[in-house]
Amino acid sequence: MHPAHQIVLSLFVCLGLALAGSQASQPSSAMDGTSLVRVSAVAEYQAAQVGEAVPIAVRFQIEDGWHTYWKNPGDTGAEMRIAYDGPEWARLGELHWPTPKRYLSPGDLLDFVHEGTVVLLTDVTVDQEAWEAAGRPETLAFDLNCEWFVCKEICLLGEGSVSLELPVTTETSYKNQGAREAFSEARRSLPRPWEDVPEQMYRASFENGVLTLSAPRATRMTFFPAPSKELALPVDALSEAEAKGDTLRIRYRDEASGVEHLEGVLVFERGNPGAVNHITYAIEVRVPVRTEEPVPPTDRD
Amino acid sequence: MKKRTKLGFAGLLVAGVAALGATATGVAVAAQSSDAKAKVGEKAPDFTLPALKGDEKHTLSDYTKDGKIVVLEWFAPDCPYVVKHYQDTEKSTVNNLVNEFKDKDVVFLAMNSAHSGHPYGNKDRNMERVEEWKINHPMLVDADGTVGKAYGARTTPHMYIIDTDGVLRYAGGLDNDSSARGIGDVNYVRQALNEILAGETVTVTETRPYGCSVKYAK
Repeated sequence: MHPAHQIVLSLFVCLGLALAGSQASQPSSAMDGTSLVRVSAVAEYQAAQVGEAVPIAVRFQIEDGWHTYWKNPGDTGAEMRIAYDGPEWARLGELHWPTPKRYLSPGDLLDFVHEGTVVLLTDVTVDQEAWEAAGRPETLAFDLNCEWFVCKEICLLGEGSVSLELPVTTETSYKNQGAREAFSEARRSLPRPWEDVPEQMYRASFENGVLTLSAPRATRMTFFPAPSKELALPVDALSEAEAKGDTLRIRYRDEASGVEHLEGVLVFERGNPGAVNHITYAIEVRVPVRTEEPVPPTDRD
Repeated sequence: MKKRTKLGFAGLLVAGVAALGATATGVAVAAQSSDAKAKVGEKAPDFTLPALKGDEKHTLSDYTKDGKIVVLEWFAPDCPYVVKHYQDTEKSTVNNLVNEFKDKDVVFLAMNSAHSGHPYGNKDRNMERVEEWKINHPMLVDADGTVGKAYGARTTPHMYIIDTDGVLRYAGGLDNDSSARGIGDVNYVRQALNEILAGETVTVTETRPYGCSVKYAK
Protein backbone atom coordinates (compact mmCIF):
# COMPACT_ATOMS: atom_id res chain seq x y z
CA MET A 1 0.00 0.00 0.00
CA HIS A 2 1.20 3.50 -0.76
CA PRO A 3 2.42 5.18 2.48
CA ALA A 4 0.15 8.18 2.04
CA HIS A 5 -2.77 5.90 1.48
CA GLN A 6 -1.91 3.99 4.62
CA ILE A 7 -1.90 7.18 6.67
CA VAL A 8 -5.28 8.19 5.35
CA LEU A 9 -6.69 4.75 6.07
CA SER A 10 -5.28 4.75 9.59
CA LEU A 11 -6.73 8.16 10.21
CA PHE A 12 -10.18 7.04 9.20
CA VAL A 13 -9.98 4.05 11.44
CA CYS A 14 -8.80 6.19 14.34
CA LEU A 15 -11.78 8.44 13.83
CA GLY A 16 -14.00 5.44 13.83
CA LEU A 17 -15.11 6.08 10.31
CA ALA A 18 -14.14 2.61 9.31
CA LEU A 19 -13.45 3.60 5.78
CA ALA A 20 -11.66 1.14 3.64
CA GLY A 21 -11.05 3.20 0.59
CA SER A 22 -8.53 0.88 -0.87
CA GLN A 23 -8.76 -2.00 -3.19
CA ALA A 24 -7.33 -4.81 -1.17
CA SER A 25 -6.91 -7.33 -3.93
CA GLN A 26 -4.46 -6.61 -6.66
CA PRO A 27 -5.14 -7.86 -10.17
CA SER A 28 -3.52 -11.16 -10.85
CA SER A 29 -3.37 -10.49 -14.57
CA ALA A 30 -4.27 -7.86 -17.09
CA MET A 31 -7.34 -9.85 -17.96
CA ASP A 32 -8.55 -10.14 -14.40
CA GLY A 33 -11.80 -8.33 -13.67
CA THR A 34 -10.46 -7.30 -10.29
CA SER A 35 -8.66 -4.35 -11.84
CA LEU A 36 -11.83 -3.12 -13.55
CA VAL A 37 -13.78 -2.42 -10.37
CA ARG A 38 -12.57 -0.55 -7.29
CA VAL A 39 -14.43 -1.29 -4.11
CA SER A 40 -14.55 0.68 -0.88
CA ALA A 41 -16.86 0.86 2.10
CA VAL A 42 -17.84 3.31 4.80
CA ALA A 43 -19.97 3.08 7.94
CA GLU A 44 -22.59 5.71 8.70
CA TYR A 45 -21.87 5.77 12.43
CA GLN A 46 -18.67 6.23 14.37
CA ALA A 47 -19.24 3.13 16.47
CA ALA A 48 -21.32 -0.02 16.49
CA GLN A 49 -23.97 0.42 19.11
CA VAL A 50 -24.90 -2.97 20.51
CA GLY A 51 -28.23 -4.15 19.15
CA GLU A 52 -28.49 -1.39 16.55
CA ALA A 53 -27.91 -1.69 12.84
CA VAL A 54 -25.04 0.39 11.48
CA PRO A 55 -25.65 1.22 7.82
CA ILE A 56 -22.74 0.41 5.55
CA ALA A 57 -22.27 1.78 2.04
CA VAL A 58 -20.24 -0.41 -0.29
CA ARG A 59 -19.11 1.51 -3.32
CA PHE A 60 -18.10 -0.09 -6.60
CA GLN A 61 -16.39 2.11 -9.18
CA ILE A 62 -16.61 0.34 -12.50
CA GLU A 63 -14.23 1.06 -15.35
CA ASP A 64 -15.82 3.06 -18.19
CA GLY A 65 -17.52 0.89 -20.78
CA TRP A 66 -17.89 -2.11 -18.48
CA HIS A 67 -20.87 -3.20 -16.45
CA THR A 68 -21.72 -5.38 -13.47
CA TYR A 69 -25.05 -7.04 -12.69
CA TRP A 70 -28.10 -6.21 -10.60
CA LYS A 71 -29.69 -8.61 -8.08
CA ASN A 72 -31.66 -10.05 -10.99
CA PRO A 73 -28.93 -10.12 -13.65
CA GLY A 74 -31.40 -10.81 -16.45
CA ASP A 75 -30.75 -13.27 -19.23
CA THR A 76 -27.04 -13.60 -18.53
CA GLY A 77 -24.42 -12.66 -15.99
CA ALA A 78 -24.32 -13.00 -12.23
CA GLU A 79 -25.14 -10.53 -9.49
CA MET A 80 -22.53 -8.77 -7.37
CA ARG A 81 -22.01 -10.48 -4.03
CA ILE A 82 -20.86 -9.31 -0.64
CA ALA A 83 -19.94 -11.79 2.08
CA TYR A 84 -19.29 -10.93 5.71
CA ASP A 85 -16.13 -12.28 7.28
CA GLY A 86 -15.98 -11.28 10.92
CA PRO A 87 -16.92 -12.26 14.46
CA GLU A 88 -20.01 -14.37 14.89
CA TRP A 89 -21.51 -11.94 17.38
CA ALA A 90 -22.23 -9.52 14.55
CA ARG A 91 -24.16 -10.08 11.35
CA LEU A 92 -24.63 -8.37 8.04
CA GLY A 93 -28.08 -7.31 6.88
CA GLU A 94 -29.71 -7.41 3.47
CA LEU A 95 -28.36 -5.71 0.40
CA HIS A 96 -30.24 -2.76 -1.03
CA TRP A 97 -29.64 -2.13 -4.70
CA PRO A 98 -29.94 1.04 -6.75
CA THR A 99 -32.07 0.98 -9.86
CA PRO A 100 -30.29 -0.82 -12.73
CA LYS A 101 -30.28 -0.17 -16.47
CA ARG A 102 -31.43 -2.39 -19.32
CA TYR A 103 -28.59 -3.74 -21.41
CA LEU A 104 -29.34 -5.44 -24.71
CA SER A 105 -27.01 -7.81 -26.56
CA PRO A 106 -27.33 -9.53 -29.94
CA GLY A 107 -29.63 -12.52 -29.79
CA ASP A 108 -32.33 -10.53 -27.95
CA LEU A 109 -30.54 -10.94 -24.66
CA LEU A 110 -31.66 -8.52 -21.97
CA ASP A 111 -29.61 -7.93 -18.85
CA PHE A 112 -30.07 -5.60 -15.87
CA VAL A 113 -26.80 -3.89 -15.15
CA HIS A 114 -24.90 -1.20 -13.33
CA GLU A 115 -22.35 1.12 -14.91
CA GLY A 116 -20.08 3.82 -13.50
CA THR A 117 -20.29 4.04 -9.74
CA VAL A 118 -22.79 1.90 -7.88
CA VAL A 119 -23.32 1.92 -4.13
CA LEU A 120 -25.03 -0.98 -2.38
CA LEU A 121 -26.34 -0.31 1.10
CA THR A 122 -26.40 -2.84 3.86
CA ASP A 123 -25.89 -2.80 7.62
CA VAL A 124 -24.07 -4.61 10.37
CA THR A 125 -25.57 -5.38 13.78
CA VAL A 126 -23.88 -6.49 16.99
CA ASP A 127 -26.07 -9.08 18.70
CA GLN A 128 -26.18 -8.19 22.38
CA GLU A 129 -26.43 -11.70 23.79
CA ALA A 130 -23.71 -13.12 21.58
CA TRP A 131 -21.49 -10.10 22.17
CA GLU A 132 -21.76 -10.48 25.94
CA ALA A 133 -21.10 -14.21 25.68
CA ALA A 134 -17.95 -13.39 23.71
CA GLY A 135 -16.65 -11.24 26.59
CA ARG A 136 -17.90 -7.87 25.37
CA PRO A 137 -15.13 -7.18 22.80
CA GLU A 138 -14.33 -3.49 22.42
CA THR A 139 -13.87 -3.54 18.67
CA LEU A 140 -15.75 -4.95 15.73
CA ALA A 141 -13.34 -5.68 12.90
CA PHE A 142 -14.59 -7.44 9.80
CA ASP A 143 -14.02 -7.85 6.11
CA LEU A 144 -16.54 -7.55 3.32
CA ASN A 145 -15.50 -9.95 0.61
CA CYS A 146 -16.94 -8.70 -2.65
CA GLU A 147 -17.24 -10.57 -5.91
CA TRP A 148 -18.39 -9.31 -9.27
CA PHE A 149 -18.86 -10.36 -12.83
CA VAL A 150 -17.87 -7.56 -15.16
CA CYS A 151 -18.53 -7.53 -18.88
CA LYS A 152 -18.01 -5.49 -22.02
CA GLU A 153 -17.04 -7.37 -25.15
CA ILE A 154 -15.82 -10.18 -22.93
CA CYS A 155 -16.66 -11.10 -19.35
CA LEU A 156 -14.31 -11.33 -16.38
CA LEU A 157 -14.60 -12.17 -12.73
CA GLY A 158 -13.24 -9.88 -10.08
CA GLU A 159 -13.03 -9.74 -6.34
CA GLY A 160 -11.97 -7.36 -3.64
CA SER A 161 -12.08 -7.24 0.12
CA VAL A 162 -12.58 -4.20 2.28
CA SER A 163 -11.83 -4.10 5.98
CA LEU A 164 -13.89 -2.14 8.44
CA GLU A 165 -13.22 -1.53 12.11
CA LEU A 166 -15.62 0.06 14.55
CA PRO A 167 -15.50 0.53 18.31
CA VAL A 168 -18.36 -1.29 20.01
CA THR A 169 -20.43 0.69 22.44
CA THR A 170 -23.52 0.35 24.56
CA GLU A 171 -23.94 4.12 24.42
CA THR A 172 -25.56 6.13 21.68
CA SER A 173 -23.36 6.23 18.63
CA TYR A 174 -23.04 9.35 16.53
CA LYS A 175 -23.02 9.80 12.81
CA ASN A 176 -19.85 9.88 10.87
CA GLN A 177 -20.07 13.38 9.41
CA GLY A 178 -17.60 12.55 6.68
CA ALA A 179 -19.92 9.90 5.31
CA ARG A 180 -23.07 12.02 5.27
CA GLU A 181 -22.92 12.90 1.59
CA ALA A 182 -22.03 9.35 0.56
CA PHE A 183 -25.12 7.98 2.28
CA SER A 184 -27.36 10.74 0.98
CA GLU A 185 -26.23 10.01 -2.54
CA ALA A 186 -26.60 6.27 -2.10
CA ARG A 187 -30.14 6.60 -0.78
CA ARG A 188 -31.13 8.88 -3.63
CA SER A 189 -30.15 6.07 -6.01
CA LEU A 190 -32.39 3.53 -4.32
CA PRO A 191 -35.92 2.99 -5.54
CA ARG A 192 -38.52 4.19 -3.09
CA PRO A 193 -39.55 1.28 -0.82
CA TRP A 194 -42.95 -0.10 -1.70
CA GLU A 195 -44.21 0.52 1.82
CA ASP A 196 -43.60 4.25 1.38
CA VAL A 197 -45.12 4.68 -2.07
CA PRO A 198 -48.41 6.64 -1.97
CA GLU A 199 -51.31 4.63 -3.36
CA GLN A 200 -52.17 7.27 -5.93
CA MET A 201 -48.69 7.14 -7.46
CA TYR A 202 -49.34 4.03 -9.49
CA ARG A 203 -51.82 1.21 -10.00
CA ALA A 204 -50.96 -2.44 -10.29
CA SER A 205 -52.88 -5.63 -10.80
CA PHE A 206 -52.18 -9.19 -11.78
CA GLU A 207 -54.90 -11.05 -13.61
CA ASN A 208 -54.91 -13.92 -16.04
CA GLY A 209 -51.14 -14.09 -16.04
CA VAL A 210 -50.69 -10.41 -16.92
CA LEU A 211 -49.13 -7.78 -14.67
CA THR A 212 -50.58 -4.37 -15.45
CA LEU A 213 -48.78 -1.31 -14.13
CA SER A 214 -49.98 2.21 -14.75
CA ALA A 215 -48.90 5.61 -13.48
CA PRO A 216 -50.94 8.75 -14.14
CA ARG A 217 -49.33 11.12 -16.64
CA ALA A 218 -46.33 8.87 -17.19
CA THR A 219 -44.65 9.34 -20.54
CA ARG A 220 -42.41 6.30 -20.33
CA MET A 221 -42.30 3.25 -18.05
CA THR A 222 -39.74 0.53 -17.37
CA PHE A 223 -40.12 -2.43 -15.06
CA PHE A 224 -37.27 -4.43 -13.59
CA PRO A 225 -38.51 -7.77 -12.19
CA ALA A 226 -36.94 -8.89 -8.92
CA PRO A 227 -35.25 -12.29 -8.88
CA SER A 228 -37.59 -15.19 -8.31
CA LYS A 229 -36.61 -18.63 -7.15
CA GLU A 230 -39.98 -19.84 -8.34
CA LEU A 231 -39.42 -18.61 -11.92
CA ALA A 232 -42.27 -16.17 -11.48
CA LEU A 233 -40.95 -13.82 -14.14
CA PRO A 234 -42.04 -12.07 -17.32
CA VAL A 235 -42.30 -14.13 -20.47
CA ASP A 236 -40.87 -11.32 -22.57
CA ALA A 237 -39.38 -8.48 -20.56
CA LEU A 238 -37.53 -7.27 -23.62
CA SER A 239 -40.70 -6.30 -25.46
CA GLU A 240 -43.16 -5.77 -22.67
CA ALA A 241 -41.33 -4.34 -19.65
CA GLU A 242 -40.51 -1.00 -21.26
CA ALA A 243 -42.84 1.26 -23.20
CA LYS A 244 -43.84 4.83 -23.91
CA GLY A 245 -47.03 5.95 -22.22
CA ASP A 246 -48.60 5.39 -18.85
CA THR A 247 -49.26 1.65 -18.84
CA LEU A 248 -47.27 -1.57 -19.04
CA ARG A 249 -48.85 -4.94 -19.63
CA ILE A 250 -46.40 -7.73 -18.91
CA ARG A 251 -47.24 -11.38 -19.44
CA TYR A 252 -45.86 -13.69 -16.78
CA ARG A 253 -44.80 -17.28 -16.83
CA ASP A 254 -47.27 -19.78 -15.42
CA GLU A 255 -45.15 -20.07 -12.29
CA ALA A 256 -46.38 -16.63 -11.23
CA SER A 257 -49.73 -18.09 -10.25
CA GLY A 258 -47.98 -20.00 -7.49
CA VAL A 259 -46.46 -17.05 -5.64
CA GLU A 260 -48.02 -14.60 -3.23
CA HIS A 261 -46.53 -11.44 -4.72
CA LEU A 262 -44.75 -10.22 -7.80
CA GLU A 263 -42.02 -7.74 -7.09
CA GLY A 264 -39.73 -5.42 -8.93
CA VAL A 265 -38.74 -1.83 -9.54
CA LEU A 266 -40.89 0.47 -11.65
CA VAL A 267 -39.26 3.49 -13.23
CA PHE A 268 -41.50 6.03 -14.87
CA GLU A 269 -41.05 9.46 -16.32
CA ARG A 270 -43.36 12.41 -16.43
CA GLY A 271 -42.85 15.17 -18.94
CA ASN A 272 -40.51 14.91 -21.86
CA PRO A 273 -36.74 14.53 -21.59
CA GLY A 274 -35.10 17.95 -21.66
CA ALA A 275 -38.25 19.76 -20.56
CA VAL A 276 -38.26 21.63 -17.26
CA ASN A 277 -41.09 19.46 -15.98
CA HIS A 278 -39.32 16.19 -16.77
CA ILE A 279 -38.99 13.99 -13.72
CA THR A 280 -38.14 10.34 -13.21
CA TYR A 281 -39.49 8.19 -10.39
CA ALA A 282 -38.15 4.82 -9.26
CA ILE A 283 -40.34 2.85 -6.90
CA GLU A 284 -40.54 -0.67 -5.65
CA VAL A 285 -43.74 -2.44 -6.49
CA ARG A 286 -45.17 -5.46 -4.76
CA VAL A 287 -48.27 -6.82 -6.39
CA PRO A 288 -50.47 -9.48 -4.84
CA VAL A 289 -51.16 -12.41 -7.10
CA ARG A 290 -54.87 -12.96 -7.30
CA THR A 291 -55.73 -16.52 -6.44
CA GLU A 292 -59.11 -18.06 -6.92
CA GLU A 293 -60.74 -18.91 -3.64
CA PRO A 294 -62.00 -22.50 -3.67
CA VAL A 295 -65.75 -22.66 -3.80
CA PRO A 296 -67.01 -24.24 -0.57
CA PRO A 297 -69.05 -27.38 -1.08
CA THR A 298 -72.79 -27.04 -0.65
CA ASP A 299 -75.34 -29.51 0.68
CA ARG A 300 -76.40 -30.22 -2.88
CA ASP A 301 -72.87 -31.37 -3.69
CA MET B 1 -32.42 2.72 23.47
CA LYS B 2 -33.09 4.87 20.53
CA LYS B 3 -34.58 3.31 17.48
CA ARG B 4 -32.42 3.96 14.48
CA THR B 5 -34.11 3.70 11.15
CA LYS B 6 -32.24 1.24 9.04
CA LEU B 7 -30.73 2.91 6.02
CA GLY B 8 -32.83 5.94 6.63
CA PHE B 9 -36.07 4.39 5.46
CA ALA B 10 -38.78 2.74 7.40
CA GLY B 11 -39.00 -0.84 6.41
CA LEU B 12 -36.77 -0.66 3.43
CA LEU B 13 -36.29 -4.37 3.44
CA VAL B 14 -37.46 -5.98 0.29
CA ALA B 15 -38.78 -9.48 0.42
CA GLY B 16 -37.07 -11.78 -1.96
CA VAL B 17 -33.75 -9.99 -2.04
CA ALA B 18 -30.90 -12.43 -1.95
CA ALA B 19 -29.36 -12.75 1.48
CA LEU B 20 -25.94 -11.26 1.87
CA GLY B 21 -23.08 -13.59 1.73
CA ALA B 22 -25.26 -16.38 0.61
CA THR B 23 -23.32 -19.05 -1.13
CA ALA B 24 -24.63 -21.34 -3.78
CA THR B 25 -28.13 -20.25 -4.39
CA GLY B 26 -28.98 -21.76 -7.71
CA VAL B 27 -31.65 -19.16 -8.03
CA ALA B 28 -33.84 -20.16 -10.89
CA VAL B 29 -34.67 -17.33 -13.23
CA ALA B 30 -36.38 -17.61 -16.55
CA ALA B 31 -35.48 -15.80 -19.72
CA GLN B 32 -36.12 -12.07 -19.56
CA SER B 33 -36.00 -11.48 -23.23
CA SER B 34 -38.56 -13.48 -25.08
CA ASP B 35 -40.67 -16.56 -25.12
CA ALA B 36 -38.41 -19.53 -24.73
CA LYS B 37 -37.63 -20.95 -28.12
CA ALA B 38 -37.18 -24.57 -27.23
CA LYS B 39 -39.64 -25.59 -24.54
CA VAL B 40 -39.19 -28.31 -21.99
CA GLY B 41 -41.62 -31.12 -22.73
CA GLU B 42 -41.71 -30.34 -26.44
CA LYS B 43 -39.72 -31.57 -29.41
CA ALA B 44 -36.25 -30.04 -29.45
CA PRO B 45 -35.19 -28.24 -32.64
CA ASP B 46 -33.22 -30.55 -34.87
CA PHE B 47 -29.93 -29.36 -36.31
CA THR B 48 -26.86 -30.34 -38.27
CA LEU B 49 -23.62 -28.58 -37.42
CA PRO B 50 -19.96 -29.02 -38.34
CA ALA B 51 -17.46 -30.10 -35.74
CA LEU B 52 -14.62 -27.84 -34.68
CA LYS B 53 -12.16 -30.61 -35.48
CA GLY B 54 -12.30 -32.58 -38.71
CA ASP B 55 -14.86 -32.54 -41.48
CA GLU B 56 -17.64 -34.44 -39.85
CA LYS B 57 -21.09 -33.07 -39.21
CA HIS B 58 -23.37 -33.91 -36.33
CA THR B 59 -27.14 -34.18 -36.55
CA LEU B 60 -29.20 -34.23 -33.39
CA SER B 61 -31.86 -36.57 -34.75
CA ASP B 62 -29.23 -39.11 -35.83
CA TYR B 63 -28.27 -39.48 -32.20
CA THR B 64 -31.76 -39.64 -30.77
CA LYS B 65 -32.93 -42.14 -33.41
CA ASP B 66 -29.94 -44.20 -32.41
CA GLY B 67 -31.26 -44.34 -28.85
CA LYS B 68 -28.97 -41.69 -27.41
CA ILE B 69 -29.80 -39.06 -24.85
CA VAL B 70 -28.12 -35.84 -25.95
CA VAL B 71 -26.71 -33.16 -23.65
CA LEU B 72 -26.01 -29.79 -25.28
CA GLU B 73 -23.52 -27.58 -23.51
CA TRP B 74 -23.13 -24.01 -24.71
CA PHE B 75 -19.43 -23.26 -24.54
CA ALA B 76 -16.99 -20.33 -24.65
CA PRO B 77 -13.28 -20.92 -24.20
CA ASP B 78 -12.55 -17.98 -21.90
CA CYS B 79 -15.82 -17.32 -20.15
CA PRO B 80 -14.97 -17.49 -16.42
CA TYR B 81 -18.01 -19.64 -15.70
CA VAL B 82 -16.93 -22.16 -18.30
CA VAL B 83 -13.37 -21.98 -17.02
CA LYS B 84 -14.44 -22.81 -13.48
CA HIS B 85 -16.05 -26.03 -14.66
CA TYR B 86 -13.01 -27.13 -16.69
CA GLN B 87 -9.81 -25.63 -15.33
CA ASP B 88 -9.12 -28.41 -12.86
CA THR B 89 -9.04 -31.16 -15.45
CA GLU B 90 -9.05 -33.87 -12.80
CA LYS B 91 -12.22 -32.51 -11.23
CA SER B 92 -13.76 -30.94 -14.32
CA THR B 93 -17.50 -30.87 -13.86
CA VAL B 94 -18.22 -31.50 -17.52
CA ASN B 95 -15.50 -34.06 -18.21
CA ASN B 96 -16.57 -36.00 -15.15
CA LEU B 97 -20.16 -36.02 -16.35
CA VAL B 98 -19.07 -37.20 -19.79
CA ASN B 99 -17.09 -40.03 -18.25
CA GLU B 100 -19.82 -40.92 -15.80
CA PHE B 101 -22.42 -41.37 -18.55
CA LYS B 102 -20.27 -42.54 -21.46
CA ASP B 103 -21.48 -46.13 -21.18
CA LYS B 104 -25.10 -45.17 -20.66
CA ASP B 105 -26.03 -44.03 -24.17
CA VAL B 106 -25.56 -40.38 -23.33
CA VAL B 107 -23.84 -38.08 -25.82
CA PHE B 108 -22.44 -34.68 -24.88
CA LEU B 109 -22.08 -31.99 -27.54
CA ALA B 110 -20.31 -28.70 -26.78
CA MET B 111 -21.94 -25.90 -28.75
CA ASN B 112 -20.23 -22.66 -29.67
CA SER B 113 -22.57 -19.97 -31.04
CA ALA B 114 -20.10 -17.07 -30.79
CA HIS B 115 -19.55 -15.27 -34.07
CA SER B 116 -16.19 -15.88 -35.66
CA GLY B 117 -14.99 -12.32 -35.04
CA HIS B 118 -15.30 -12.67 -31.28
CA PRO B 119 -12.45 -14.12 -29.21
CA TYR B 120 -14.86 -16.76 -27.89
CA GLY B 121 -15.54 -17.86 -31.48
CA ASN B 122 -11.91 -18.04 -32.50
CA LYS B 123 -11.20 -21.51 -33.86
CA ASP B 124 -7.59 -21.68 -32.70
CA ARG B 125 -8.49 -20.60 -29.19
CA ASN B 126 -11.22 -23.22 -28.99
CA MET B 127 -8.80 -25.87 -30.26
CA GLU B 128 -6.31 -24.84 -27.56
CA ARG B 129 -8.94 -25.31 -24.89
CA VAL B 130 -9.95 -28.69 -26.26
CA GLU B 131 -6.35 -29.83 -25.85
CA GLU B 132 -5.68 -28.07 -22.57
CA TRP B 133 -8.84 -29.24 -20.87
CA LYS B 134 -8.78 -32.72 -22.43
CA ILE B 135 -12.26 -32.28 -23.87
CA ASN B 136 -13.17 -35.56 -25.52
CA HIS B 137 -16.73 -34.82 -26.56
CA PRO B 138 -17.40 -33.11 -29.90
CA MET B 139 -17.50 -29.34 -30.12
CA LEU B 140 -19.86 -27.99 -32.77
CA VAL B 141 -19.58 -24.65 -34.54
CA ASP B 142 -22.72 -22.51 -34.80
CA ALA B 143 -21.06 -19.27 -35.84
CA ASP B 144 -24.20 -17.68 -37.24
CA GLY B 145 -26.06 -18.51 -34.05
CA THR B 146 -29.00 -20.21 -35.74
CA VAL B 147 -29.06 -23.21 -33.45
CA GLY B 148 -28.31 -21.19 -30.33
CA LYS B 149 -31.22 -18.87 -31.05
CA ALA B 150 -33.50 -21.79 -31.88
CA TYR B 151 -32.84 -23.15 -28.40
CA GLY B 152 -32.84 -19.75 -26.73
CA ALA B 153 -29.31 -20.36 -25.46
CA ARG B 154 -28.34 -17.32 -23.42
CA THR B 155 -25.24 -18.10 -21.45
CA THR B 156 -22.09 -20.13 -21.39
CA PRO B 157 -22.62 -22.62 -20.00
CA HIS B 158 -26.29 -23.25 -20.79
CA MET B 159 -27.34 -26.88 -20.68
CA TYR B 160 -30.09 -28.78 -22.50
CA ILE B 161 -30.98 -32.45 -22.26
CA ILE B 162 -32.88 -34.15 -25.08
CA ASP B 163 -34.26 -37.64 -24.61
CA THR B 164 -34.34 -40.48 -27.13
CA ASP B 165 -37.71 -39.26 -28.43
CA GLY B 166 -36.13 -35.92 -29.29
CA VAL B 167 -38.01 -34.20 -26.48
CA LEU B 168 -36.35 -31.49 -24.41
CA ARG B 169 -36.30 -32.64 -20.79
CA TYR B 170 -34.08 -30.07 -19.07
CA ALA B 171 -32.89 -26.54 -19.79
CA GLY B 172 -30.78 -24.36 -17.54
CA GLY B 173 -27.66 -24.18 -15.48
CA LEU B 174 -25.10 -26.85 -14.94
CA ASP B 175 -25.37 -26.69 -11.17
CA ASN B 176 -26.69 -24.63 -8.31
CA ASP B 177 -23.65 -22.44 -7.66
CA SER B 178 -23.44 -19.24 -9.64
CA SER B 179 -20.50 -17.94 -7.63
CA ALA B 180 -17.16 -17.28 -9.25
CA ARG B 181 -15.35 -20.39 -8.14
CA GLY B 182 -17.70 -22.68 -6.31
CA ILE B 183 -19.05 -25.89 -7.74
CA GLY B 184 -22.61 -26.60 -6.71
CA ASP B 185 -23.70 -29.44 -4.51
CA VAL B 186 -26.54 -30.12 -6.91
CA ASN B 187 -25.64 -30.83 -10.52
CA TYR B 188 -28.88 -30.42 -12.40
CA VAL B 189 -27.61 -32.27 -15.45
CA ARG B 190 -26.50 -35.32 -13.48
CA GLN B 191 -29.76 -35.29 -11.57
CA ALA B 192 -31.89 -35.09 -14.70
CA LEU B 193 -29.86 -37.70 -16.58
CA ASN B 194 -30.18 -40.17 -13.73
CA GLU B 195 -33.91 -39.58 -13.57
CA ILE B 196 -34.35 -40.01 -17.31
CA LEU B 197 -32.25 -43.18 -17.33
CA ALA B 198 -34.32 -44.54 -14.46
CA GLY B 199 -37.50 -43.81 -16.36
CA GLU B 200 -38.53 -41.25 -13.78
CA THR B 201 -39.98 -37.78 -14.09
CA VAL B 202 -37.35 -35.07 -14.15
CA THR B 203 -37.86 -33.15 -10.92
CA VAL B 204 -36.04 -29.94 -11.87
CA THR B 205 -36.74 -29.18 -15.51
CA GLU B 206 -35.68 -25.56 -15.68
CA THR B 207 -33.22 -23.36 -13.81
CA ARG B 208 -31.53 -20.08 -14.40
CA PRO B 209 -28.39 -20.59 -16.48
CA TYR B 210 -25.60 -18.38 -15.18
CA GLY B 211 -22.57 -17.21 -17.10
CA CYS B 212 -21.40 -15.03 -19.95
CA SER B 213 -23.81 -14.01 -22.66
CA VAL B 214 -23.58 -16.06 -25.82
CA LYS B 215 -21.69 -13.79 -28.21
CA TYR B 216 -24.11 -13.87 -31.12
CA ALA B 217 -23.40 -12.06 -34.36
CA LYS B 218 -25.14 -8.69 -34.64
